Amino acid sequence: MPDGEVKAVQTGGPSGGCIPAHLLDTSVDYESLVALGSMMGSGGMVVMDQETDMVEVAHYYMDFCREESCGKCIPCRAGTVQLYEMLSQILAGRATLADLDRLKDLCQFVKATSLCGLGQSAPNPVLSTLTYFPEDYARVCGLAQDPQREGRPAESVEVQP
Amino acid sequence: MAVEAGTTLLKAAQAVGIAIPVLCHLEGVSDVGACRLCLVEIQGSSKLLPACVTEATEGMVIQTQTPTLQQHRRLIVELLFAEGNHVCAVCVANGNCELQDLAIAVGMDHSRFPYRFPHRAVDISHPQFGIDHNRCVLCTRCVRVCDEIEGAHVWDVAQRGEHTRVITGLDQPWGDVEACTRCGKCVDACPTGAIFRKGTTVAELARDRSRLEFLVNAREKREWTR
Repeated sequence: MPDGEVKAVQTGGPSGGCIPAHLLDTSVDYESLVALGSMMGSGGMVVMDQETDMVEVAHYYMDFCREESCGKCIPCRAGTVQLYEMLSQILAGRATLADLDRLKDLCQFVKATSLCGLGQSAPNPVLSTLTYFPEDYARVCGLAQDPQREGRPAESVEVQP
Repeated sequence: MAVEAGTTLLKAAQAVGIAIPVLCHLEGVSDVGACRLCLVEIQGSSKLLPACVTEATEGMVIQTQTPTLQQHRRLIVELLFAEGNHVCAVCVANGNCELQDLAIAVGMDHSRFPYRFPHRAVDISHPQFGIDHNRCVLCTRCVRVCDEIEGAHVWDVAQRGEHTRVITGLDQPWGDVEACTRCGKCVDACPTGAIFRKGTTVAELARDRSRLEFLVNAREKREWTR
């Protein structure tokens, strides 16, 4: 891949995180990767170019985690499913920036309350992409407010307490 | 406060009159720490720990009702309501349901998550009992009560993730499972209206938890009194 074309490196498998290009000088060790919101996992890496939509990446990994959830504890069993649905809505242009706060809140809840490592780390791809690539989320969410765009207005899917 | 070694945080809190919400916990059977409702904050620990399976240790300082815990508990109940098909108005357990009680206790008047409306089955092949999977919250109390108290192990858990469900026998119709002794302990253990006696209609479900408590007490303390 030519210089400057790397957008992110995903480490730690589906429950790891996406590290942006400007942090590529980080050493590959447990502590450094965890500090960046990712993890070592199997040590594998996925290198992504500028064409990559980080919301799609998060959606893809959440699809995996929701399938892999064993179903024993509620936060992981039901939380990963709702996270996946939220990301699907965002990708479909049916979400607003306010939905990102709900996404983040649910991520933190699943992380804090899940019984095992799968649920505790399943939100990592979402949280790390929200942290390092907010513009990707803003782009999809911003489009939802464009009346020219196909798709329902955001208020028809959002029910606030 | 001082408690006997090996006492769980849940028991210790109960001893001093502090109620911690539970769903998968059932007096008399083993704990699995699965519902996460009883998570508590422990000073010096960054992780929230389930009170039902965490033993009290010397000098432990725990918080059972912080704003964070209250938010988590409400989210858990919301996720449960969105995950199944819980329609109180037509349920045998209406007014006698632990899920309903929990919703009230955590202040959940509606779910902020879209309802999933899963397609789930109802099995009424058993001559006395039925199971409506729409109302199941997967607490696995039926699995544990049947295995540990009755010793029949009719119930088990199949599939995974959102497709998880409790099964009878080797995923057979309940009525075909010869191991079932028709004792009805699963009906008494179920927190919702998922497992019911046939013939009961809306809001008629009655449970006899004292029967389970009697058996456990008799077994553990050799006291055969009711």
